[in-house]
Amino acid sequence: MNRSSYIALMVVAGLGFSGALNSACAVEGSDQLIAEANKSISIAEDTVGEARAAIEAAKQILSTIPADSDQMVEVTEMLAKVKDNWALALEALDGAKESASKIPTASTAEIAGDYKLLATVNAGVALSGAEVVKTGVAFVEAVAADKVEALDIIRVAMQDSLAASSQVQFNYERVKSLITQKYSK
Amino acid sequence: MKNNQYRTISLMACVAVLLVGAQVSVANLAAASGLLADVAVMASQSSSALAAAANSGDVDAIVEAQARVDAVDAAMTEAQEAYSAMEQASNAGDEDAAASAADDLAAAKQKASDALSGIIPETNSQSDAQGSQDQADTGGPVREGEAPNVFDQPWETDGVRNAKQALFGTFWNASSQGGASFGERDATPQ
Repeated sequence: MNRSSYIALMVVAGLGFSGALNSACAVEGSDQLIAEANKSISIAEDTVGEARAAIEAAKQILSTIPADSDQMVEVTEMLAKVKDNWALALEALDGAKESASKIPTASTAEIAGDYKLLATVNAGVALSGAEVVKTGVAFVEAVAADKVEALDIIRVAMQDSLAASSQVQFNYERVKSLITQKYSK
Repeated sequence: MKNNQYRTISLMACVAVLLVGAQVSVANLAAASGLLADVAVMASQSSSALAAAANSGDVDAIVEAQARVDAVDAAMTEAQEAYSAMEQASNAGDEDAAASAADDLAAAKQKASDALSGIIPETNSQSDAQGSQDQADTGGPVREGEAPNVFDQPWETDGVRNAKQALFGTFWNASSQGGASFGERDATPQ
């Protein structure tokens, strides 16, 4: 065996050992990753549940607001944003669950870690979407109860909440893009 | 001939090391984006809590929620700056700077988490206090008891007291008793 063949053999052996080690890590560490992903999903589910209850309450409250109310146009705008973010929250929650379900079957620890990251960030998208829903419904409640002094605060809170939710979505897309980039090399 | 083989192998090894290094940077940036998303989630939670407090009509709860929103926003700004620094360092191949920026990002996330649970950083309280002092100092003659905060409750946290002081300072300055105009008014004709 000449020297170059020997080096090539060592490299192949090293890669094989590293692969075997990674597989062992995936088996050992996946429980922890699953637990972390499930915790994020559980928190998001709770908030989505609160948002669902808020929407149900808003349906009742909405009928008490006079059609000729000064705030009716704004209420309609808020409800449009609530609707969009509700759909987003539900979709993201499903996505988070799907990513989490792939952790146990991942072939390496690194891939398992990436699925966990996708699951937690997607759970964050669901959570922030649900928070936007809650904030929008709070505005409807304030209008129905004629809490004029609360409206200014909730308007600003809604803007902040929408901006934060956009930030979460942007970062989710960035995580997806970076992970794709990693495996496309 | 042998030299060429060694050169090829060395080149391949270098390429492999560079690829692994790039993958590590990308993995770190992905994790950092995840952290940034976490901080943004906390910002949405604090805003939602503020909206709920506004609906409750409880002034103390509103002030407390506003203080949390401000502190989380400050942490969000720090996190975004840390991420930018990390991205630049990763692109430049400066692993030490990238690691340092990653630490800053983790610290910003911790600050946001603390703020969300009501632990407002002392530096914020101090700057708020300085801000209210600046607002009260109108440049006119110093009057005893200038901008007294009748809503101050000594048993409340520093963050809440400072936020209330800032709100009251703004109100005071806008009133006929406060602001520079009062000190600059002409004396009575007598």
